[in-house]
Formats: sequence, structure tokens, C-alpha cells
Amino acid sequence: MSITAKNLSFQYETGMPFATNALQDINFTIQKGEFVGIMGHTGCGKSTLFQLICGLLTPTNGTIFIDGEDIFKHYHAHKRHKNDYDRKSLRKKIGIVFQYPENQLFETTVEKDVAYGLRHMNISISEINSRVKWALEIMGFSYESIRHLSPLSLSGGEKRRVAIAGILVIRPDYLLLDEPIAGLDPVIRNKFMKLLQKLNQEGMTILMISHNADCISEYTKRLLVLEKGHLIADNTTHYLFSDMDWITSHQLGISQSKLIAYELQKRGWNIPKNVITYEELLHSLQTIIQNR
Amino acid sequence: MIHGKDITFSYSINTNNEPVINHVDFDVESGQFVAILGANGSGKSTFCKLLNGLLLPQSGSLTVAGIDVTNTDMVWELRRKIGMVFQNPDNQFVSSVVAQDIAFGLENYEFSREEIDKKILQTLEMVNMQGFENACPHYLSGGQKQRIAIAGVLALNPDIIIFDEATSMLDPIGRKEVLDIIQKQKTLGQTIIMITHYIEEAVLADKIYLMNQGSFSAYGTPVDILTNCELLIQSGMLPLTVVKLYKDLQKIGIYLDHCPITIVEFVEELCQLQQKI
Amino acid sequence: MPFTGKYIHGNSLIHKFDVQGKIIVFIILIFMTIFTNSFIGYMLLFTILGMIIALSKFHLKLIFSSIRHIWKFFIVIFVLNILFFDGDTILFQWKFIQLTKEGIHHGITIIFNVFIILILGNIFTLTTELTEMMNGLEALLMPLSYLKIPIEQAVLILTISFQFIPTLLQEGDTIRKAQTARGADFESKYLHKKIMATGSLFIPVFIAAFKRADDLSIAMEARGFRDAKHRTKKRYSKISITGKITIVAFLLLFIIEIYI
Repeated sequence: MSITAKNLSFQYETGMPFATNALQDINFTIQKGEFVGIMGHTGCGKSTLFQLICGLLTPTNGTIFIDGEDIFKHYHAHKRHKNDYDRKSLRKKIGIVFQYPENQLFETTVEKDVAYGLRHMNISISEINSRVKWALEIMGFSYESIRHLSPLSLSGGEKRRVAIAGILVIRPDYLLLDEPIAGLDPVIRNKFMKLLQKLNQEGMTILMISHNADCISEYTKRLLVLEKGHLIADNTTHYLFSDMDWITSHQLGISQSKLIAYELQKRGWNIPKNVITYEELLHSLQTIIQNR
Repeated sequence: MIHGKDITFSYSINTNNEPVINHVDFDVESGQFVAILGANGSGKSTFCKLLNGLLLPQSGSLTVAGIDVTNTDMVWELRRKIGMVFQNPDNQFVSSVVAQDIAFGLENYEFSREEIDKKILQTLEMVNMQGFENACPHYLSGGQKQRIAIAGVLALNPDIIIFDEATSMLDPIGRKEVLDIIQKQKTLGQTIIMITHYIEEAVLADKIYLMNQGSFSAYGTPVDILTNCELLIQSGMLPLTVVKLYKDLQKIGIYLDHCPITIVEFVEELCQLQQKI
Repeated sequence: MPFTGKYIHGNSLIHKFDVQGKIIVFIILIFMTIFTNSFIGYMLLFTILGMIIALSKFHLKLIFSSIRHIWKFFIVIFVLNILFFDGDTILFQWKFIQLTKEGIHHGITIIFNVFIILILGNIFTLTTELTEMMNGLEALLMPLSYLKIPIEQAVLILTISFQFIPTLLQEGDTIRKAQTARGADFESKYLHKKIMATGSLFIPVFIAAFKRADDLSIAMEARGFRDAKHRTKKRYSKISITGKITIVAFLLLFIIEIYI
């Protein structure tokens, strides 16, 4: 059970004089149950990668295997324009939260909007209702008080949570999130990250694109870094964030805890290089000070 | 520069809704850098629209740069003195050429063509975007777009600039680019009001107003506001990492002399503690 | 990102040519195309077209990209014309269907005309920046403002609306993908599914467009906008000498073409 990218390349406007390479020869395997962060600057190909994994774009070269199955095999065999892999089974396996997902709300009530993804599947009404309730409650809403409201009457943060509930309701095995916390208030952001952690512990595989070095270092276990369409790093988040020089040279942003640890190291404090999270920093300060 | 007393505003007067802005006092001196910190929906964006006459307060008094904002005859003058940079870089461009976008404000105040051409080059230099006058905003990065928006505001030489969450849709590089420009303007003595929910950005301010549900729950220096964790959490903010460390170290019996608000201060405090032991 | 049919920066003569002159010359060329029906006329037009393409320095693939998707449409026009255009010289007749020499001639003419006009339009938009084009149009239309027609206002509104298009297209694309991922089927065989999918795309795009328009109007007001009249007057450049000479040359060609 995994997502595997094999020699994956994607080009916009193939065959035109201004064709641009969005992704070049990407290879990785993500096992079921992982919590993976993806970082890179705007235009590095992160969002293209997500759309390929969902079958929303078709690669120029290479392919993607989901649970061992080549999702583009028909396309590559027949060179047909349409990707005729059984989309419905793919949609049940993979949920994608686009950047600013609140923009996609359109139904008259929150309940209907959240249920939208389920209406395309053969699921009984009672099952739909119980799943909608589950998804809204997991996003921190009271089901009874919000179900009949219009999504447009909600605040920005609430809209975002309703939109994400509309993806979770599918109960995907793999959840892809593109900048889910951008623009959220700090308190809501932390609640949301804890929720992702919980879903991950319950077995959901999570891939999250984010610029937020704090959230990436606190919550993800593994990190992929893209730069100009190339996968330049694929390792544990700890390993990559330990190397201060490497991070600064790629301008990825540094978590506050790591920054504090680094400044202390410069003043001669013996803080291990692999301290990147808040708890690790606190623990390491405690040991150093109390051992004197 | 700005004097506001007992300001109240609500979107619809007739309903029983809570006012969006509820009996608020607000003062900004010339050359000050003031941050308004608050969660989404706390009313901070509504509040700053009162400052340049985009919305009119229902009660209280508010003068900005010597102009009473309720005097609708002066609203055009008012907007020249107070510039605004908005959150979404894509939603504030009127032209598909950078130079013509910067010129938009100047044209509204009927500056001469010669002056406009001069100002475009000057302001592009002020935001480190020399050579971009013929570029198309759509193909610029988020940080570049916001800097062009800032140039458009600077061109009118305003007394006050309001940044309404101007960095919240940017990536770290873009944020840094914009913050650098804001810092530079601060050192030039520009009066700045920055609306944000990034607590790290408020550290730079001279004065912070903490907004919660339509009123200011507190105001004061960054040290006053940012070291008060309970107050921040009540307003939907999280304390700074260094403040949190300071408190958590206290819990395990390690006491620093002062509560730091920057990393540099925190490191200093720790080093002093080390010398004492 | 799709760039087709949009301005692409370049340094060619066509790029640098005076906009007002370019607009007039292209209009003359369109009239020439419509009025041509002789072999020599088309030879002349194709020669001009070939020269313009050569001067624009664009890759042929790019120039013909606008034709690529509509060749089916060409066939339909051609077939309709040869079937229903009345003529005297009947070449072939079967029941009510008759093929005439005039019909074939007319069909070919129409296709040539559509082809030439599309290519011209494509070259024009590829080499002319939108704002530049609006400025040129505004300058050419300015005399109308003496008739109390609000040209400045119309041009301002048009320019602002145009510069929204790329952002909205991009947003529409993202929303379409997001709804597809939620199971919307835009290519469904069933009508009700198709309608549902279309709603899930258009409602959010409309909401986004209104939101943008609202944000923009606030931003414009904040920057001191009152109305299109109370603004610094634009400097309208006069048509350059080269522009004028080219216009005259093309007018002459037009007259010659009508007489042959």
C-alpha cells in the first residue's frame, strides 16, 4: 500500500516553443501511514505533483503507482488523450485539498456541500448523513447548529474547515493538502495540525505542502523538497532541518525553535544539531542548565 | 496623526447584531509604527476601512491627518493622505502594465504626465523593483506584486500607510521582501499601521493594539502585550516561541530575569543566567 | 499555464510598430480579405500574410495554433457552402443535392477568408500588449468624445475587465480540478450529472469574480478614484511617419485589389 512516482516528468504546453518543464524525473515511494511534508518555492512544481497523483493531469513521461497499480497504464499503452483509469476508485482513495479550498463551496447548505463528494458514490442516505456528521464534528463544528447554514455566511476560517470536511467525508486513504494552513489564525492552525496528526495516527496517509517551517518540523516525519521541478531532497524532516547551512542556502524558512537552538549554539551552548522541535529544545535546555 | 474616541460601527443599524466595532479609542502619533493584532473576524479590517472613509463610523469621533473622517466633502483629500495596501495582491491591480498601475493613484489626483513618469521610477526604486516598469503584474511573484502595490501608495507621498494583512498570502521569501520595505519605510519616519495576525510581525511595532471581537482588549508596547500569554490566547493568538520557552522554563524551575520577546534577547538572558551559575 | 492567443514579448518589427497604425493596417487587411474574390487578390493577401509572419519572427506552430482546434469547423463551412450555394454551372446532381462550380468557389473563398482573418487576429494579439492596444483604440476613438460619448470611461472599464481574465481563468481551472477530485463529472453522458458539475464550477467562479470586483473597487476608491473624467489626461501619441506611410501604402493596395 503506497504511492510511488517513477521517472515522473511533466511539461506544460508540450510541443510548443515555450514549453516549460514543471517536473523532471521524480522518483519516490510513500508508504501507507506516513506523514510527509513537501516544501519548495512558488513555481517549483509542488501543486503539479499533487494534480498528477490525483490523475487530474497526465504525465509527459513516467508514471504513478497507487497501491501497486499504474494509474496511467491505459494512457501510456494507447496514447489516448483521456486517462481512462477507473477514476471513481481513485477518487475514493485520494482526497485533495487545494489551496484556498473555501473558494470551491457552492451548495446552499453546509450539509449539502460536505455531502457533495459522496453523492457520486453508491452510498445510502443514512451512511451519507452519518459521514457528514463525522466530518463536520472532526473539523470542530457542532453538526446540528451548522448543517443548515449557508456556507457563504461563514467566516473565512470556518469556510476553510467546511471545505476540508467535504474532502474528509470521502474517508480517503491518502490525503493531499496544498497549503492548508495559509492565512489561518495561529490557534486554529495549531488545532488543525493536531487534527491532522490524529487522522494520521488513525492510519490516514498525509502529504502536506506548506511554507510554514514550524508546522513542518513539529508534525511531519518525512520531507520532500522540490526546486525548479527537481526533487532535491527526500529524507526525514529531522535530518534535513538539522543542516542549517543547507536550509538557508535553499531559503526554505527555519522553525523558530531551530533558530533559537542555532543562535545558542553560536554562543557556545552545547545543543545537539538535530534539535528542531519545541519539545526537543526545551528538553535540551533543561538538561544543560540542570546539569551544571 | 490619528485621534479616535469612542468609535462604533456596525454594518446594519436596524438589526440587533452586535456592532462590528464597539466603542473603540485609537491614537497614533506621527512617525509611529502601530500594529493591530487580532484573529480573523475580530474586526481589524473593518476598523481600518473607517480610517480612510471607506466606511463611516456611526458614533464617536475620528480625525485622521487633521481631517474629520465623517466630513464626506474631504474624503478625497483624506485618501491622499492615508494609503492602503490590501491582502490579496491579485485583487488590487487596475492595469496589466506595472508603470500604469503605479500611475493610477497619481492620475486620480491629476498630477502632470512629467511628474507621473518621474514618480514611477522613484517609487520603483524605493521598493527595489527597478526595471519592472513595463512588466505585467500577472506574471510577477506574490512579493513583487505587493511591492508594486506599495509603490502605487508611496507615489502619492501619504502621511500614513496602512498594511491590511499585506503579507498573509505570501510565501516566506515574499513576506521577507515586503517586511524589508516596511522596515525601510519605518526608518525613514513614515507613519505605519500594520494589521496582522502574525505575532512575529508585531514585535517590530512601537505600539500594539490587540483586537478581540470588535474592541481593543489591550494596547501598549510590544513587551506589555506580547508577554501576556493569557490575553493573547483569549484573542486567538499564540504566544511567541521565546515567551513560551520563558514560561515553560519557569515551570521546571529555571528563572530568567526578564521575559524576552526576540531571539536575541532570549539568548542574552540565557547567557547571563549561565554566568550566574 | 496556457499562453495561447495572448501577447508574447518580442522585438520584431510587428511588435514595435506604432499601435494606432497597426490597428488601422489590420482593419484594412480585414477589409481586403472580405473584398477579395480573385486569384490574384488572394496571391497578394497570402504574400502580405507571409511577410507579416516572417517579420513577426514567431514560430509557425505558434501562429497556426489558433487554427489547430477548429479545422472541423472549416470542413462544416465548406460542405454547407458547396451544398446550398446556388450556381449555374452544375457539376454534379443527386436528388436535391447539387454541386456547382460557384458553390465550390464560394466555399473555398469563405475558408480562405476565415483562415486569413484568424491568422491576422492571432498575430495581432501575439504582438500587441493589451494595455497598449487599449491605449491605441482610445486614441483612435478620442474624436468621438466630442460627440459626448464617454470613451475614457469605456476604455478604463474594458482595460480593468481584461486584466482580470487571466486570474479568473486560472481560478476556474483550479476549481474545475477541485470539483473533479470531489467526483464532479464534466464529461458525463448523463445530462443531470453534467448540469450538477457545471453548477459546481460556475457558482464558485461567479462568487470569486464578484469578490474580486468588490476588492478591486475598494482598492480603487482607496487610491482616490472618483470617476474617469477627473484624471490626468492621457498623452495621445500621434501616428508615426512610418505608420502613416504604411497606412497609405495599404490603402493603395486595397484600391488596386478592388480594381483587379
